[in-house]
Amino acid sequence: MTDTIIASVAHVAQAASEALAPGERARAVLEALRRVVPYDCAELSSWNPTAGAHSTLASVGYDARLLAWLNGTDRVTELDQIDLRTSGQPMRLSDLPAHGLAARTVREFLLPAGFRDGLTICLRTGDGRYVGVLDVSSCDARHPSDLEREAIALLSGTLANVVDSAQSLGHAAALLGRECYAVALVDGVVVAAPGLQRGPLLADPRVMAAARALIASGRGSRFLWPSECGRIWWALSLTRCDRSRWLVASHRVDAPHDLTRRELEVLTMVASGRSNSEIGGALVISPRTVATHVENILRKLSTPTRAAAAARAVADGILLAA
Amino acid sequence: MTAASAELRAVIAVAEAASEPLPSPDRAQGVLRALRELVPYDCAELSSFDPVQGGHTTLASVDYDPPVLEHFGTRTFVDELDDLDMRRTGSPMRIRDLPREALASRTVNEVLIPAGFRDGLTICLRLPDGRHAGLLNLSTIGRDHPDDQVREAITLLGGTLANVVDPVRSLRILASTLEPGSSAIALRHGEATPLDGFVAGPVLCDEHPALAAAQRFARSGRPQHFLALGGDDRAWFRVHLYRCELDDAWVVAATPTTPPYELTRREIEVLTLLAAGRSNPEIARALVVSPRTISSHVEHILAKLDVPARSAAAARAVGEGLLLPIP
Repeated sequence: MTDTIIASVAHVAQAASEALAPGERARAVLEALRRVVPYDCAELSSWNPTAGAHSTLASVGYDARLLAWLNGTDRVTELDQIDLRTSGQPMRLSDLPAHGLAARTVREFLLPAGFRDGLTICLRTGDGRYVGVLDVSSCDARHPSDLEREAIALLSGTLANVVDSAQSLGHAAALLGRECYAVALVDGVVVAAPGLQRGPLLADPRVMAAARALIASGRGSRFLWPSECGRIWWALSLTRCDRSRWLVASHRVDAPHDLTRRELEVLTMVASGRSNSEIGGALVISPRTVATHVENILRKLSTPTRAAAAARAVADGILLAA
Repeated sequence: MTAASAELRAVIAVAEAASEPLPSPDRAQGVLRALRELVPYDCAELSSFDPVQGGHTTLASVDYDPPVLEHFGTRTFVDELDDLDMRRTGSPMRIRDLPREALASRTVNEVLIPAGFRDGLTICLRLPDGRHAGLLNLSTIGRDHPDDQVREAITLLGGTLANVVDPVRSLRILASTLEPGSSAIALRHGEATPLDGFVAGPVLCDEHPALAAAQRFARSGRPQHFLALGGDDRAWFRVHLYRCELDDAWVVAATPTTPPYELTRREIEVLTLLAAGRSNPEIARALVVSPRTISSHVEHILAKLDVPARSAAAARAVGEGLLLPIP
């Protein structure tokens, strides 16, 4: 018996470690879980903190009406009434206290659908974040058995990694390499980037405002920010992880192409289409001085025209934040 | 409440470590830590196979001395694994399981025994498509481990460990985030290679200038996106380069699109040359039309992009990838 369950769990391990899109990976994990618990229906869903509800990542067998209920806000209330989200304990129908059996989930949905037993477990990642839920249902009252329940409880950390909606941040952060500081923007809110330090710059709200503005405009993914030392700059880059998540990374660079701070200011205005006299007006210098700066910029970038210099500046990410 | 054996708990700990969304070396280190609950090893290593070198690169290791790790990385070691057919079978092998002639191998005689190890285990890790992904090596000073039960459990975990050491894992994860309908390839060491589950499609093939442009952009280290025409010049694609710092590789993806801002093909050609720093007469010569025609194209471009000057149009073109690759 134990040998079989180890083999079954090894299948779950393999599915959970696949480099697949989250939905496909969750589906592979549900398929493998069937060997651990012979269920009739199952669902893995992710917690969406903004919506305060769950959404299905993968499901097997449940009909649409039941899935809609399982992911609704009333269900969250019922999970909380028996403390499932805080305890992280697996709960079978057969383990439920009397008031749990009176819950609408059981009375109006699971029992009428013909299920005799089943199990629900709320999933938390290693760092303690609540990330989602596993539901399995069985028409056979013998499953999940005690050993099956314990195996699922032990697998909860693995299942949490599978449903974690922030995993795209972890993967994107892993792609950045280690030589940078980074934070994440989730729906515009700053949170830590997994495995990466925030560093001194990304605590500055002005920098994050500039990052948000660039994301909103959709017109580029990199910019420069001055450091305390004039010859050194911070290079910032924005990486999209999924619809609502971005990584903002920063590392120090030497003055690009040996450009001075003033030249970078002029270059940024050139790239926004301003004329020399407009730039002179904005920087309170004469248009002739601006013309000299532009000449020096073209020479340093080895570009023949203002347009080519603007193109190069965007490609190299050497424009200052607007 | 403990019907679950220590062994089951250890296997589940490996599963959890292997599913963490961490950089590959960190995840591998976590897996080695979890494996120690399964088998009390003294030293262990997870390594990825490098098809270019024909040897293995350490992803994570615990307590092996550098000369031992160095030997595990050599082609000699791979040859000795192949003498035992281990890359093909994927079966784990302990020192005690070795046939007599293999006990005379360099690995055992000149490396493991002199380092004081009495037993240990090596398993070649294969991905579901049959590709050899890498190795798990572990060594013990005592003779009691790895026992048969452990050997069995590690065999069962072979597919999971293969996913952990997969040398193109980060490329595959990147590829999993591409929009549906995208075609894609990988660029490793500048060479275009196929990407699991994706076709190269009409624009990422050798005959198309988009591939050469992507290779050029990858060399210059500038993350780039641009437009390409494929399917007998009738279908537009957005081509995007994504960089994997850790693997030193790129994913190049092409997604069907329509030209943004209702730009015409001619206008995109003019915009491309303009952003490269050409004057109107130069653009006119390149496209074999009159400079006046070019002026009117530029006017239309500025109006469509809603920008006041050529320089701003050039900046927007690069920022939003509104360029065709110049052959």
